[in-house]
Amino acid sequence: MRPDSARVPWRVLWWFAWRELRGARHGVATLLVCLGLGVAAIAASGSVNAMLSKVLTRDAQALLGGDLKVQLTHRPATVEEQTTLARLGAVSHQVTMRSQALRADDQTQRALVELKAVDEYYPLYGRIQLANGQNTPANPILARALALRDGVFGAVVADELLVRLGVVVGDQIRIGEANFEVRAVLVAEPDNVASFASFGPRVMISGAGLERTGLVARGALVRHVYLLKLPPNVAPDSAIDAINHAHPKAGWRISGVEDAVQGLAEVYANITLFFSLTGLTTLLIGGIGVANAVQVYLERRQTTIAALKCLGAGTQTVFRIYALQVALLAGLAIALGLALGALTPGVVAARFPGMLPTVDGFGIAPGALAEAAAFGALVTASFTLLPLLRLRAISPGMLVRGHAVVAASPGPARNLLALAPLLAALVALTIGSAHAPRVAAAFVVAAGLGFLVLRLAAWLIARGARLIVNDTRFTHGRPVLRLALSNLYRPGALTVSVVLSLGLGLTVLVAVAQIETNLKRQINDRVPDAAPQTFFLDIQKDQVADFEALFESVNPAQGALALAPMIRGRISALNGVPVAEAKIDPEVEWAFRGDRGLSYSAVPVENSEVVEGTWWPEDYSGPNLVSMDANIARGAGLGVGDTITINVLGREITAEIASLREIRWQSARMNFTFVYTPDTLAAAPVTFIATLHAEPRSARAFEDAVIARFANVTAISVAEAIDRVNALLTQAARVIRMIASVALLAGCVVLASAVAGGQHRRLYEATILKVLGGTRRRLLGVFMFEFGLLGLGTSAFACAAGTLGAAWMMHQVMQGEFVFAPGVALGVILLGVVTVLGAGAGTLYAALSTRASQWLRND
Amino acid sequence: MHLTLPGPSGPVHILRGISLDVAPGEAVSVVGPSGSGKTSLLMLLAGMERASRGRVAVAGVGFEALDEDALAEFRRDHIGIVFQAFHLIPTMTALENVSVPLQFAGARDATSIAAEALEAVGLGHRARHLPGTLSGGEQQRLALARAVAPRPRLLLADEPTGNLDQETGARIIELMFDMQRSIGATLALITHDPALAARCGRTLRMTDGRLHAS
Repeated sequence: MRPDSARVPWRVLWWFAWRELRGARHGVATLLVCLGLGVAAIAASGSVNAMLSKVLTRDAQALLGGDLKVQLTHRPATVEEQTTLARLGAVSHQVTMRSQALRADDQTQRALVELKAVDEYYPLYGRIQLANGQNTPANPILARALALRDGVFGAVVADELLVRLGVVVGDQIRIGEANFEVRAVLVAEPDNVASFASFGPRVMISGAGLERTGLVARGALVRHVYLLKLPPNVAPDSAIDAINHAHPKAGWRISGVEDAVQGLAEVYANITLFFSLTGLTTLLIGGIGVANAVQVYLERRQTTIAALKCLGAGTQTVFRIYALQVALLAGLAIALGLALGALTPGVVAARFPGMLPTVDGFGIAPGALAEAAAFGALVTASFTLLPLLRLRAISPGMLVRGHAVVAASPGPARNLLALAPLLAALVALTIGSAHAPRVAAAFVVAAGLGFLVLRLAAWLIARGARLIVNDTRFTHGRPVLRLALSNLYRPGALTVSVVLSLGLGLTVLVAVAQIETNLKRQINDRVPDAAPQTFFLDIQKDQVADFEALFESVNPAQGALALAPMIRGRISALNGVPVAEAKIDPEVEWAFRGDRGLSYSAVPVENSEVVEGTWWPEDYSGPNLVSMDANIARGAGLGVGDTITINVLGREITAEIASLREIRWQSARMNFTFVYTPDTLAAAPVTFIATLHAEPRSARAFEDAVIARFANVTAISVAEAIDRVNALLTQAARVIRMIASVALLAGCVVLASAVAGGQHRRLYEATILKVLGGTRRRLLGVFMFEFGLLGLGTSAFACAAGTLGAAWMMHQVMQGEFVFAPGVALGVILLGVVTVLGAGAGTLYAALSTRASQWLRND
Repeated sequence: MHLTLPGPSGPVHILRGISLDVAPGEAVSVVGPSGSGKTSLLMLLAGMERASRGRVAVAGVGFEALDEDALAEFRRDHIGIVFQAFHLIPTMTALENVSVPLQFAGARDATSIAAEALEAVGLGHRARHLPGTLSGGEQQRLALARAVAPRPRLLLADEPTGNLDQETGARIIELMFDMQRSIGATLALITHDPALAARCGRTLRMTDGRLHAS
């Protein structure tokens, strides 16, 4: 009587599964690594995100620097304004600007720095961290470090400055007209988390120290920041209302904690989404490994399965026994992955102490771990269902017939139908759990397409190999090539495994490297040709004549110097409507947000062309007029005759648009979106900005002369700025490459396991080939050809796909031109070939050294 | 000839002083109980094991002077082997299995020779099938075709009917002797079956690593 498999008790099934599992060796490691790695990556990114969100909420004030942040450009708050602020709560005042720091004993050593002068109340929230590792809860140590000692003020500086200037703690540096003693190294400042990019290392001094530098001249590009700590009973919104009500025309920018946290939360969520999608990619690649491992395991268990069926086990019973084994192993892998993922936030916090200064611990994020576990379980189920369902096809008759090769094809259509709900659940979880569902949906589509395209590539390689084998012109008299090529399409061939496992990782690697190379090429090759060598900021009106004379004396023949007046102001109204209420195209919104550089000129400015209206006469005197960038005007619905109101140092100035200009920004010459009639800004404390086009060496000589002569003038070397951008790009690319390497690593594990899975068969084949006259050299040749061709095919395909992806990114997303970088392509092809050859080297060694007799004896 | 192999509890003396001369075209059978050393003798004759003492020469070529690769080439050109467990390459079709040694030998028309050999054993219609889809008898016929297709001077057969039923085994044996005669090869046949052994011109008995005339 045939037993009803559905009635076999679970206890019995468990018993069978457990006994079978004891004999499982091959594939267990693959399953644990592939699944564990992917789950760990997802759990880690989820946990880090949870930790960051918690920290952002908890330490929001520290990140902003206070409950409220009031910013002014060029000027400090007036006494009345300060009184208003002080009435609301505790106030800390800081001044930030860019400046030059020089080595006091060797002024040719200099660096552009981000200067921040703080008062004794700083920081109101959070902790400043100095190099000696002391967390200063309030600021006695910081205050002591910045204080006047033996006639010299102190400074705490970022490590980078020490390296750039070649100084150590205890040495003196010069800023403006004052010397400062470096008293400590700044590791972290609570309110500087969000500034990922800056022009130079941070230098922190006291307000009194800043006075002594003489840098804060009228019109200098400085920002005054007032941080407010409100009493618990004062709501930030009502405080903002009170400030605005008392000084409606102050022209300041007020932000609350939500502004600071929201922006940062968005950035972190995007970064962790990228991490978690990479984790999912790793898991998907790992899934291929899991499928391979299960497939090989079940192939080796065919006799047992056939025997079980002979002894009366139904298809359902056998399916359950083996599904239970997969579930047990997957459960273990997922648990290991979760443990690894849960530990990561602590490691991140310890490894990058400056990333979030207020991180002092981490906890388990159950939500993130549950999500990672769900991904792990769904991927396991999706990738092992088909091999498990194929168990049905194993007939008890197999016991009396040798050499059954289980086809790796998906099986009957009903098997695919059974897979559909699992895939749907995986897609739903991917999109549903993502912070940006659209990005996740795009990922799902890309992953699906990627899988199909890689599968197609594998098919093409196998098909191509078959065509060549069948064409005797190529293979006649070349048994090694023929055997190697036929190994690419025979049953049990590694082609699909290799292409799927390595293809994706290599494609990402090529794309990242091509984009990086192209971006760097654009920055390094194109920009410097047109861009000035140096910018000079904060040249006072009364220094202009001397500045020009200095240029004539130092650099009379070479280079071109251009000067223009500039002051920063905020656009406050368009045609009398406050800017916040005006309808502005998002494309040009940036021009109306924050501070803008404003200039004036009596004559039409260079590198632009008046396309609407007319330029004012050189001796114009009359109502305020402005000439504006045509594109930006159109984006804001403005035309000639409309009015714009700006707020400069608390004063509102309204001007009528007299003309619109098409500005040739790509000329990289100095230009301004808003150019006024000279009278309009006559009363404003304008400073001058200068650009220098010159040979690097003469530019450097002029910079030295300017800095020696005008302590308040800041020189920004474009080459240095480009170096910084390059460094940032390199860093970003390194991080992305590192993350992509996780996927590649998973690919390598899958590849190695696929090779190992086929090792038994290969050794047996090698033995028979030896019996039939195959020499070791021939076997080596077959191996080199087969694995080399596989590596070459896979990486060549990855190169093509990655390059196409990179070209698309450059054209569509970065709006740039794409140039193929052959070095990158060659490097990746080499990497692919070496990886595949390396993966097979163990098998090759075993095949060459195996003794024929041990495989061929009957007993 | 002596053959001693390392075992888990010390060296095992498998062959203990054997002398055997086989004339060209002769058919010799070796019978004896399991573990007596029959297969080891075949391994020595095929150059897949090396004698611990003594010398093996086939067609006048002493194996002691040949390295592993030279022995493989010698097998390719001069020796065909039929195993009890067939030892076919499971992922190659019948035609591919037969053509492997011919291709190694650089035969111009390897595929057509292989196809003829398949026809000769009655498997022409199974040329594109994988071994797993063939019956036991068919698999052994395929192995026979692979062994004789390069027209070897020495044909070695290790229990060729051991995995087959009596009737199928008898057909295989007929086929094997036919082919041996047609290509004029020397045959060394290892078997348990006295009746089968008796079909050879000379029968030797192997007991405990020693060879006696039967």
